[in-house]
Amino acid sequence: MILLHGIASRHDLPLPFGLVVAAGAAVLVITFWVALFAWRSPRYREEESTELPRLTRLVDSRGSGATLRAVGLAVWGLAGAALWFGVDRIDNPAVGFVYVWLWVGLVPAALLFGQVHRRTNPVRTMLWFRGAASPSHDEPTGSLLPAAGALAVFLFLELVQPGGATLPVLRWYAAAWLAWVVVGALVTPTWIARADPFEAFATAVARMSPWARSPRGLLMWTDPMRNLAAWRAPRGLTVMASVLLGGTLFDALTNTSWWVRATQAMGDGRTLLAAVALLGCMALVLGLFRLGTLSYRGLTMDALAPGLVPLVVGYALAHYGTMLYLEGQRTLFRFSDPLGRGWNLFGMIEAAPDTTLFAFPTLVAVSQVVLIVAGHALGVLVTHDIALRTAPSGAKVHLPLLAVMVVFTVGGLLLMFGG
Amino acid sequence: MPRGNVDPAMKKIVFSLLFLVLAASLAACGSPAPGGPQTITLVVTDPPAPAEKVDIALGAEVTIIITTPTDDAAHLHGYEVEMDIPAGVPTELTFTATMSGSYELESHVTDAVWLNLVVS
Repeated sequence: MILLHGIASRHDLPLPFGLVVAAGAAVLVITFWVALFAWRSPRYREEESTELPRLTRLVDSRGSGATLRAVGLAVWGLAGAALWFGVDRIDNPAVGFVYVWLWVGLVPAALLFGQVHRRTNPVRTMLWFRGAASPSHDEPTGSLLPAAGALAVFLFLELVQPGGATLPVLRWYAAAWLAWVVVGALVTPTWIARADPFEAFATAVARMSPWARSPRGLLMWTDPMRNLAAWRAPRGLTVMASVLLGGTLFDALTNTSWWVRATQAMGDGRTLLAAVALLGCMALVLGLFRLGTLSYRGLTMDALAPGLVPLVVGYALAHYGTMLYLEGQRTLFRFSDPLGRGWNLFGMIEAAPDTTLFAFPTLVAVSQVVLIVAGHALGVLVTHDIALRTAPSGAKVHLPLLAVMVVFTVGGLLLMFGG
Repeated sequence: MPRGNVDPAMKKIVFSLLFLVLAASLAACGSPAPGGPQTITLVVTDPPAPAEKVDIALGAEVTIIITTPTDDAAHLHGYEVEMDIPAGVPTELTFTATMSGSYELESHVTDAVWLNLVVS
């Protein structure tokens, strides 16, 4: 959207029509083949794999923990200094840190390295005296609704808030986030896991990583699908996933020429309309998922919601991947002069980003489609595997949910085609 | 429960995805050949006209000749080219279109978007 175009300095080309059709067909074939033929009994009920005690000792050692905390604190500290004492320009690294490194980067970081965010989260480091710096390996107990609300606020900041990429606005939101997480954590020990939007998001994505913990707390290298399907999902996961998917839907919607033309002359009413549309997108995703899960008597929406995580991840990478690639590099270079005083701390201030990827637009488009279709395939497999635990394998009971998943994916493809 | 080896169901899915990728890349082939030089003339009015879309071949040497009614500064996003434009003087902004995607050319004085460059 126009408000952030300082940081999102480019857009990918719209997906070619042929690709969208091919992907749509693949989505249908994969979905119904899975439901009708391939998956007749649940396979991923339990987390099980070989434990890796030596790796666990290394990862859980005091040295590793302290190093991660120190690196996390240093990077966040530098970004915080740039935010509070830097110059209000688009080349302030704090802007790229928030919207590119943190928001987009946490997805691949969690996919590759698992539960790393909670071990670098600066709020946990600052609250070490409350025991926050050594979180248990267990999943958060209690509802994720506070995190879902905070994520909705963040998406409003990113996609709607006028001046969302300027320092005065970012400072207010950063202060509010800090107060929200710290005050809550001082009252309830489990608050950070349930209410810090970035940690809750990263924790959910990390369930799609190949890293899991055994009941004894030992690290295991496992099948990401099993990791996700065996998740005893916390309450509120559906709402949180709907907020994230709704945000992506809204972002794609506001990039269409139709939306730009319709709202061009609206002035101040535009912010309000956009806020309502953002909430509407989130409600639409939630409502569709609710419809799709009605036919399962023994399962709550939240129990099935792990299947939405691959959709969130697929869209995040397809939609923001090229931004992470280009602006991620620029943010790194800008950290050499965090306060805008002509410093060159890391000697990278003159560096030019690598742009090789953009010489291959077909490769970019195909990767985007593959990410979306793969996210869909994993999502369907995971929800179906969970659904089979209580429902019979006949096709009828599963059709509504499968149809909804197809609607999500085809809708997403069409939005990226309409660019 | 068996685990460790990829089960046949997964294999089939992987193969169908691979097939999709192949089919898609074949269908998407035939992007425009790297073009020669390309020149665009832009006369900014007051107030500026709605941004027009301009197609540019990937790899082209692009020259945009910009004339503005008042002293202005042009900024080509993504490529991060900036240039001061004195009022009424046609000024050349040049770059090589090595990156695909769509990019906005805008005024850093009025923030108006002048052109949408689509490099493909």
